[in-house]
Amino acid sequence: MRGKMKGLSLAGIAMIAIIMFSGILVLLIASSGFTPIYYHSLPEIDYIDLLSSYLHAKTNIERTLEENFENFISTITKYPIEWENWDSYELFEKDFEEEFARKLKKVGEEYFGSTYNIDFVNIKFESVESEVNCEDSKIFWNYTYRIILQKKLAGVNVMDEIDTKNNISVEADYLNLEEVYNCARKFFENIAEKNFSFTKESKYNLEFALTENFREILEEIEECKSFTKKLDVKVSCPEECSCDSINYGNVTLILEDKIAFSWKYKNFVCGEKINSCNTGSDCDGKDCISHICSFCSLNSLGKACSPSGSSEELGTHVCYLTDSGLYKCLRYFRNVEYSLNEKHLLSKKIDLNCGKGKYKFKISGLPSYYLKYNGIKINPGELDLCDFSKIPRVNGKLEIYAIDNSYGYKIDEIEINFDLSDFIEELNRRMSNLEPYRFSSMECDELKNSLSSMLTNVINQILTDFRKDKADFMEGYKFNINANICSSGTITPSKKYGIVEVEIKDDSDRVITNLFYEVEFSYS
Amino acid sequence: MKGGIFEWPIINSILVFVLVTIVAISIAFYIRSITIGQPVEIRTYSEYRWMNYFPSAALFYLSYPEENWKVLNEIALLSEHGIWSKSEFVNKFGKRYELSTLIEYIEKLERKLEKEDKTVFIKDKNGLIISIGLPKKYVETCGYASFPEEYPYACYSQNMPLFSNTSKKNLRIKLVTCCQDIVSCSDYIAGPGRSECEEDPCSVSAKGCKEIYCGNEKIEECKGRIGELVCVEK
Repeated sequence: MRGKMKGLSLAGIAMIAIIMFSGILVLLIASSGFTPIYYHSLPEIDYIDLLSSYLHAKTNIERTLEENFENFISTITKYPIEWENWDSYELFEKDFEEEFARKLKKVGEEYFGSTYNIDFVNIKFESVESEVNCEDSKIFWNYTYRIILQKKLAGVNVMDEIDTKNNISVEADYLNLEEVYNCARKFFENIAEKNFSFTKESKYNLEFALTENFREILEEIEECKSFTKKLDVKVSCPEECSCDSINYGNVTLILEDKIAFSWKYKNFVCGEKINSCNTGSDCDGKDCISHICSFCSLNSLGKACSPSGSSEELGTHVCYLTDSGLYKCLRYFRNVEYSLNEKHLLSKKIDLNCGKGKYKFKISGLPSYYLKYNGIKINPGELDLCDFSKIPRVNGKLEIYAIDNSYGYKIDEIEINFDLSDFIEELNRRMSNLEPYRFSSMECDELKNSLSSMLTNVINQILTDFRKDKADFMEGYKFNINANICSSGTITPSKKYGIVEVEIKDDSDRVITNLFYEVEFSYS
Repeated sequence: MKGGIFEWPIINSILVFVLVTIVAISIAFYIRSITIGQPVEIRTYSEYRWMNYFPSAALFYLSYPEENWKVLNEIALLSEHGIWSKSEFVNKFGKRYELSTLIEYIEKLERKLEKEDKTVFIKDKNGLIISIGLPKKYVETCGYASFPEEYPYACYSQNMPLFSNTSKKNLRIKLVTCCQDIVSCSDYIAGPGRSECEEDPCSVSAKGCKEIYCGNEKIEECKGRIGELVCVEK
C-alpha cells in the first residue's frame, strides 16, 4: 500500500510515454492524407498566394482601364463639373483638365474600391496622382494608384502585406473640348438671361417644366446641335415649391454621356402660374405632357401626353420615339393582346419547334400596325411564325409597331427562340471541335457509311443533351446525311478532308436547310 | 560497478523505449497494411506548388483573350444564380454572349487536365466560379462554399478580383481545379477499408470502378503490382 502511495515509478512513466508515443506513431502512419498539413501554412506558400492575388488584381485594374476606359469615363457624369463662366477657352481648358483629373481620381477610387476583400485577402485601393490632357478629340490620362493587399499569416517574420504604387497611362477618343466649351457656355449664358415665373407648384411639376423650358433653349443653340444632350434639373425645395422660398435649381447638362456640367439657376420670380394644361388644346401649338405644355422629347419618353390641339385629356396618348426617329405624342393602346394558335399569349418569350405544325400569331386591340423581325419589316395580317418565307428560323425579336396619325412606333417586342437555330448553333460548334477522322485506307462505301454514322452520333448526342431540358426539342425534324465524298475505290487520308452534308426537313418533307461540314482526315 | 551499466535505471528505460518503439512501428505498419494497403507516397513540395499554382496560371490563360475577359466580366455582373454544366451554360448564355473562344479555351484546359466535359459554372452573388474536375453532382449536393482540399478531390483555386461601377461589391472570378491526380480508376488508392475506388468520387469512369487483387500481370494495371489491390474500370 505504501509502495502505491509513492506514485509512479520511472519505469511506469517510461511505459506511459512509450504507449503514447506508439499511439501517435500508429495514427501518423495509418493516416491517408496526401499533402502534409504543414505545406498549407508554410510562409512562402502563403506569400506566393498573396502575390498571385496581387498579380490578378493589378492585371484586372490595368485591363479595366485599357479596355473599358470609355465606360469608365461615362461614370464621370455622376460628378458634374461646376460651370464657372470662364471668359476664354484657354482658361476653361486649364481648369477643365485639372478638375477632370480630380474627378477621374475619385471615379478610380470608387471603381477599383468596389472589391475590398476576397477569400481572406483584404484589398485597399487609393488614387495617388491623376493628370489629364485633352488634345485633338482625345483624352490622355496618367494615373498613379496605390494598392495594398493584406492577409493574416502565421509567424513573426512573414511577409503578410503587399503595398505598392503603380502607374498607368491610357487614352481614349473624347469630345472636341473647344466645341464642348462653346456649347456649354452658350447654354448657361442663355438660361441665365431667362426668368422663370411661378407661384406655387409641386416639385415634380416644377422640375419637369424647368427641364422642358431649358431643353427648348438648348435645342436652339447652334453650337450644341452636334452633341447628344441630356438635361436634368433638380430644385431645392421639398414636395411643394413656392416662389418666395425657393433658393435655386441645379441644372446639369450632359454631353454624349462623357461630360457633365452643373450650374445653379436662381432666377425664379413670383408671377403667373407655369404653363399647365389638361389637354393639347390648352397649349397653343405644343403638346400637353404631364400637365405641362411642351414637346415630346427624350426626357419625356413614356410620359402621358395630349397632342397639340387635341381636346383629349391626358391618359390616351404617350410620348413615343417613332420609326422615323421623331419624338411624338401618339395614341397609347392599352388593350393589345397576342395569341398563338388561338391561345392567349402570356409570356413575351416564345420557344418554337417548327418541325411539326404551325404557330399562328395574331394581334388584337390594334387597328393598324406592322411587324418587324430582327429589323426586317413584315406585312400585317395572320402570321405563321414557322413560315420561313416570312420569318427566318433564327432566334430574334418580333417587334410590334402601332400606326397612329401616319407614324409607326414600337409598342412591344417578343423574343422568339427556334429549336432549329439552337440546334444549328450547337452542331456548328461541335463540328468545329471535331477531332480529325483517322483511318489508313477504306473502301469508298465503307468510309461514307462510317462518316454518316459519326455525324448521326453527333446529332443524336445534341438531341439527347437538349431534350434533358426540353422534351420535344427538334421533334418532327428529319435529318438526311450525305457523305458524298467519293464514288468508288479505296480512299486514303491523302485527300485532306471530305464534305458532309446535313439536310434538315420538317414533317411535311419540306427541306428547311442544308448544312455542309468539312471533316478532316488523318492517318491512324 | 556491480552488474555494470545495465543496472542503471535510465539505461534500462532507454532500452525498453527503443524495443517498444520498434515493436510499435512494426505494429503500426502492420495495421496500416491490413487497413489501407501499401504505404502512400507523400506528395513532394514541388508537386504541391504546381497544383497550387496551376489555377492562377490557368486563370490568366483563360482571361487573356479580350473577348473572354469581356464576357467573363459581363456574366459575373449578372444577377442570375445557378449551377450549370458546360453545355447547359452554353445553352443559357450562348444566345446573349459570344462564348465560342471561352469554351475553346476551357476545352483546352480540360484536355490538358484530362478532364473532358468536367467543367461546372457556378454563378453566385460574388460573381462567377469555374470549376474543372469536380463532378457537378458533388457541387449540387455539397454546395460550393468550399471546395474540398482533401484526397482525392484536392481542389485548388485562384480568385481574380473584378471591379465595377455598379452597386455590386466584392466581385470575383474564381477558377477551381479538382481531382487533378485522378484521371482514371487506377489512380485511386485501393485497399481494405478504402471506399474511393468503388465510389469514384471524381467521376472518372462512366462505367464505375472496382477493386481487384492482382494475381498475375494479365491486366495492364497489375503490371509490377502482383499481390496488390488495385482499382480498375468495371
